[in-house]
Amino acid sequence: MGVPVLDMRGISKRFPGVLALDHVDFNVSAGEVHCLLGHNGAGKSTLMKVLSGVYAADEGEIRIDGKSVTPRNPAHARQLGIRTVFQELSLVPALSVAENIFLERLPGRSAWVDRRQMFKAVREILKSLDIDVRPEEPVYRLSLATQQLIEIARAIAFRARVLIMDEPTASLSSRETETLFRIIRRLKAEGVAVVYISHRLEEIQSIGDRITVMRDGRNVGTLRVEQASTDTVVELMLGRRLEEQYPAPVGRRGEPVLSVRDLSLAGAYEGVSFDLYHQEILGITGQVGAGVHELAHSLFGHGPRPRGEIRIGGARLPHSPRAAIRFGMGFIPEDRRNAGLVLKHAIRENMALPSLRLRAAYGWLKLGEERRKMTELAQAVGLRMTSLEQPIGLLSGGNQQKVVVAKWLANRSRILLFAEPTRGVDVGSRAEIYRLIAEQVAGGASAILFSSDLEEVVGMCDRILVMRRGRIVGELGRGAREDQLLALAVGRADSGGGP
Amino acid sequence: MKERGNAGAWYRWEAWGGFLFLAVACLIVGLLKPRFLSPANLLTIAQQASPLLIAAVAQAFVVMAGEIDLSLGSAAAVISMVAVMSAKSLGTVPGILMGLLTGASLGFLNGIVVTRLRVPAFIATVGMLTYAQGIALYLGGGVPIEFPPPSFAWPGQGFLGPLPAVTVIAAMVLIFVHLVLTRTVFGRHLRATGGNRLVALLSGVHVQRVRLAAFVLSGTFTGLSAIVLASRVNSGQPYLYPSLPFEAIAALAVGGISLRGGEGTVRQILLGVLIFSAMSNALNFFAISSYVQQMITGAMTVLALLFSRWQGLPRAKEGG
Repeated sequence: MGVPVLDMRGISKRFPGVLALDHVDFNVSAGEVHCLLGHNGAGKSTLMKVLSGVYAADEGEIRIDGKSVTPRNPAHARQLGIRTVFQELSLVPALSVAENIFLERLPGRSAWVDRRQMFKAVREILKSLDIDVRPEEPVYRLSLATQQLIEIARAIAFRARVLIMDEPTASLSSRETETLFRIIRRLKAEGVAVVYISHRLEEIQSIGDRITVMRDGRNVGTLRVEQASTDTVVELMLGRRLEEQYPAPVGRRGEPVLSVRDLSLAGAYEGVSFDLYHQEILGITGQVGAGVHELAHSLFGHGPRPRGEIRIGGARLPHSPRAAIRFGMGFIPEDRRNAGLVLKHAIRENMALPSLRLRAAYGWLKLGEERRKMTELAQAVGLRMTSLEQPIGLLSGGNQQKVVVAKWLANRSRILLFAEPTRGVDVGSRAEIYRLIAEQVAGGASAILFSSDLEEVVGMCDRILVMRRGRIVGELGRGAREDQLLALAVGRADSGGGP
Repeated sequence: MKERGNAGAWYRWEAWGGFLFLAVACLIVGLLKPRFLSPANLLTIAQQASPLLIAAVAQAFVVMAGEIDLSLGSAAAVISMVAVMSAKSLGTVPGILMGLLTGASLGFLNGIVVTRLRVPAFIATVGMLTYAQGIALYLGGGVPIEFPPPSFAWPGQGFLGPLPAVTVIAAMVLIFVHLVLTRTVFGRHLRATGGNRLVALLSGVHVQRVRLAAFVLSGTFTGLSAIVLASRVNSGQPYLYPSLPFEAIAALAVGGISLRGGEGTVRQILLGVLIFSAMSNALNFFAISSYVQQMITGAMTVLALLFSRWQGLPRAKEGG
């Protein structure tokens, strides 16, 4: 084998409080499809962001065709021949297919676009890719799947040396997936190096050449697809993490406090029914796109109104976050920085927000009581800070998350919905957040963990529901194993887990 | 509030540094032109600053909610016309009440268009700017309405002891708004909504109602500002103060309030307005023409924004 097209050596990247990449080696040869696997937070996307110029590596070297390069920004990375097809679409809806494909390099001299030349070129590209769309069509009229294909067409319209595809089939039907695979095979024949990120093991078996598994910011194994049985891959993905202290289970289970019946939301989840019991920690898990997060938001009354019903203590829950809060719910969203905290406001102000009315008379706040109560809570959740008046954006991820939890403790919420409670949280704070959850449940609350972190779900939950493609496909009790969950979540045919 | 390290000192500098700058600048002007610092002139500055101060408060409510109101200028014109008309037929006090009510109604209309019809505030209020200008011209047939009852002149021209009445009114507004912003559930909800609407929604804030309320409050305070302006010129004017919304926004920016919402204190509003008023007064002492003054004011608005961004750089980066 000659020089690999892409060769990343000893790449490290540090974020405040987290070592996101720890001396990662990764290479792709010409005409190879190299699959990248790992859980959320394992470091896959950080590695790809380093490659595509979004982040600068703290250490390590990147070589393209043997030449050392440093992608300074995404535009520079594209010049180097590194192209990315993102999971979230990055097309401009109002522009035509052709304009989107040529957006960064519109043909023609001077400021005027040579539209005829552009449409002609795009027609050829689309034809060669077997995509049946007119170049003049505005993008917003296309289906999501077709948009995804346009996204790919854009990435390869200009000569790509390295093509990064992040979950490219997430919104494709099986026929469209076939089209995509045909495109990938053609690119292989042209000698392009493809990095393919996916959770779907069957897909990897059919398109990949080699597999690299990442865990906790490290490359924990690179192997040829033929050697990679599902069991081997699952084992590598789970591994043995740094030993984490999970609190002992509370182990009581009372009456149902929350009942969900036949809840459906088009495009997200379908026919979901379950009960949450008093003092129970219920886990709901699934891979990206399984509908887990959408379900969490629906339960809290946020987003489009689902069909079906949610009852708390026998009463039907109206669809709004304010109603959910009134019924005693608290929500720790998965996107802490955009949905959990007002980053420019002080710790105290963030922490007090949902419970202001508890400390007010006729709309006037009792500030002394607020300061006292928030100080107390900051201690209770083990917040490390210099002052309650500090802007919250300066805290570490773990400490920020403690504030989000404290918001609901201040409001005495009895049903706590945790979505990815430890995402982007360092190991030490993780154990503290687990302890907080257990304490609340021991004190009479009930909790649901919406989490794709299987180890956490197994370690924390009394009962676990597994979702796949919007449906609950299995229920397991305490003592469930991670490989059983994973098998259910990815839909392996021979899955033995679950009643 | 007790434990304060270096970070605490920095916060205090952020809060009061602007006033220190203003004081030093005034001192320098005073050394060159001693009459600038005379009590009489300082009272003049206070009197001249007051209507803008009230309008800046009006603008601050929407800006803090993460919106903007460009309709202040012609809204003020309509209000002045309605107030003087009503004062002529019903008396001064009903006239003032009608003015406030008109302001609140225009604000309500803005708020409904923005929150229910989901028109961006920028567009909605530019529409209102033109619409209200039309009403103002229609009401008087294109000419001012004059000769309100004599008592109508008091808010804008009268005195309470040594202090201009308008300044006392502005001071009361500032105290009231300070209390609302720092001590009420509504003030917190307003800051949260402007700071991050999604977070506010998921924390149980009735976001739509808060945004609507911000517009109604903005309209009401615009009403008060328009009434003191009308009282000062003793008439309802179809072109009362066209640059009012822009001066108000500029004052907020100079005071250091982020136009992205969620931030702002009464202290900052006061600082921004005082800098503007003191500067234009000082420029008069140096016999600089009002045309050149306008050029300076415009340039300063942009410079102040650049300055506050430079100051806030380390934090802005952290916030992503």
